[in-house]
Amino acid sequence: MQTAPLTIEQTLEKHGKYVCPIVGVSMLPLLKEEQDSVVIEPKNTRLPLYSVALFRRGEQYVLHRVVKVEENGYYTRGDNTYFNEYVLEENVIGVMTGFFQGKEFVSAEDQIYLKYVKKRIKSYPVRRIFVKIKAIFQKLFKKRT
Amino acid sequence: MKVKSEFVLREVGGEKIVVPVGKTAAFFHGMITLNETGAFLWQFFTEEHTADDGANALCAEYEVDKKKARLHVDKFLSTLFDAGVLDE
Repeated sequence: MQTAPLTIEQTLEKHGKYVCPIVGVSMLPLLKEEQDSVVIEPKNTRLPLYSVALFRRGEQYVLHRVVKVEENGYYTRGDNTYFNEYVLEENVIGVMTGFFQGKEFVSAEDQIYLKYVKKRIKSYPVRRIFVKIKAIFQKLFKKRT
Repeated sequence: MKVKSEFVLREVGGEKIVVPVGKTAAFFHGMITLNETGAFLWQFFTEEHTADDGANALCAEYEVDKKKARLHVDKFLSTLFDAGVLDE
């Protein structure tokens, strides 16, 4: 048995994978905090569109989906966020190859999962408008009360 | 003693890995991998048992003498304790 008080980068190098729990809500509804975990593997090639990248943002580790592939990096976005973040290739540590929803393992190549990804990407513009409208109503409601 | 309920055992590509769930997830950033006997002991210690119980269980499951089994169990438990995974 081995314990590994290592950084994620060191763990990936040593074990060839890193299994970690979800912290935060940016990948909802796919990945739920305190319930689900993801399997990360080192990035060997350039990440394909719509894959989920683990990258460094300063001291933080972030797990977001690649929504646009650029020459020197990627635009990424959480499934539950409404802004794109540019990430340099060198800051990408790994790629999600699967995840556990509770006890059930789902591969990143699973057909049902891929359907979810397509649907999530396709519905983004509508969801974004909805969120904006919701924010306006919330602002108006706050002003009145 | 038993393993904390905020940790679960998951199998990834044939490898047994301990993953934190619940609120612990925000604080635990390591990764614990278990070999076959480690995974066996993990399952055993998901319920309250003594180290001696663990050694007996190991002897019943594998061809190993009690002394060696106890050493193995002690090492297993002390590693889990150091990692904050064990409820005493």
